[in-house]
Amino acid sequence: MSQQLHVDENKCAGHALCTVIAPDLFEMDDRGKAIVIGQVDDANLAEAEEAVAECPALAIAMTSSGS
Amino acid sequence: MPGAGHRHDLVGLVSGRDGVLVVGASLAGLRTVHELRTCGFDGAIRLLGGEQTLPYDRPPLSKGYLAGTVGTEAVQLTSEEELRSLDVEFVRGVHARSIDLDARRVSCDDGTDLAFDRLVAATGGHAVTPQWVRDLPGPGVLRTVEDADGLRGLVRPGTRVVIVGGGFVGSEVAATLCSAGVRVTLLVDGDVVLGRLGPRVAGVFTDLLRRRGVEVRSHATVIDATPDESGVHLVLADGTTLEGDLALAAVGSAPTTAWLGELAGPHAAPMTVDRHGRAHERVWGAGDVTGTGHWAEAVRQARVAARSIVGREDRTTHRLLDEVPYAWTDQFEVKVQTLGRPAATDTFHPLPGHDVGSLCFSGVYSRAGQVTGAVMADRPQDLARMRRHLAAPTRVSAVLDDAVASGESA
Repeated sequence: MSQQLHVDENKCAGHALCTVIAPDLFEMDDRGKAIVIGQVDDANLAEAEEAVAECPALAIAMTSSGS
Repeated sequence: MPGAGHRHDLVGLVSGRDGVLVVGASLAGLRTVHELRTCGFDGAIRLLGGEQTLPYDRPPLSKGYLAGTVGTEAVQLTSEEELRSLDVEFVRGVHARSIDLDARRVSCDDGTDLAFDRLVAATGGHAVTPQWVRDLPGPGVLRTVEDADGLRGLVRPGTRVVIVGGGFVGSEVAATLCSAGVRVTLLVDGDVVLGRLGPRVAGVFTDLLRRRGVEVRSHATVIDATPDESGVHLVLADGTTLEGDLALAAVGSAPTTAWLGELAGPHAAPMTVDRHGRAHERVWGAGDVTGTGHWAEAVRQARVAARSIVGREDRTTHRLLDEVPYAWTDQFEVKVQTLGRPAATDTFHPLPGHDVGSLCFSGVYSRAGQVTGAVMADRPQDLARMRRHLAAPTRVSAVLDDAVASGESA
């Protein structure tokens, strides 16, 4: 089972905290929205969870997919 | 009988014996509730809101919501469904009038008293409303959804609107209305709009407003205004007069603390809280009520307060306590993001290769060689790096050298 990160573009206000917490997973695009650039794995799962919890705009979600 | 004891417990719970009372259904109030539940708080929570609406977000009110490009759903911070899942009792349309710390009660304007075990003050702020604007048609200020609706309903292409105040709200409203074909005159008390960004950065945004058709008047102070048949007639301190269809005062906000008694000073002083948001053994404060005035700071303070209430002190708590102040404004299509608390008199340094006049640049502010803040205009990709630079005391030369070394240029 793998975890997928999603950024809700409508909620993302470009605070960029996720790119500080998990620079391998998020990047700011040129419109100031966070985009997902990496895959969640065992090594970065904690960072991913932290980014979800820390987003000031509550714009990041993590869902399980596959098995 | 067994039922009676159970019922007694329920009444105790509902009256707030174990509960947290959050006064103010603001961004800070709602985020406090959210963080309390996230941190596992399972006591009763009651959220008291002065308006009839669900908690809403204010930044869009001077931008997309005023322009009509986003609707009510885009400004709502939560839903009835989420409030149910947070297990919070939401009381709307009721204002706190006073607080009795010994009796642990808040008296409300509907005649009810609400008990609390612990209380979070999140009543935010209200727009400063100068005397001269009070008798004019229209909302006069912009703070609430009702104000935004009122203003939007009164303007159409060609309407002459005079905006007083060149801070975030005044300049954003000017940009939004001007883009909609409204004839905007913007009066600022200094030389430029966004004066706190310093003359060099503020200057380019003042020029941008002018290029797009806003008439920006410097060193202009309104001393009187009267409604007349054609709209409003403004008298300025230099003796000149100005005609318009509508006038809007955007001269700042004041914390809504009158109900807090001794927890706030006299004359609309902000609530004094410690770094954990605590003002008293049982009372915390978060958001504009503490005099901060920015969205991200309201979120940060709400989370810190909730964590203090439940006694959660982990890595996240520490990061929140050390978070670099962050704010943003939209000036037409340019998103301007700021970090830190630079003073207007600090020295501004664009990053090497960045051209301030291009309206796509990043730069840092310094005082005595130390970085005090950063600004990014249409450069969100620099935000993360700047946050890291500002997380600890840093020499400005180190930031500029790093920008060269990393090969970043606009």
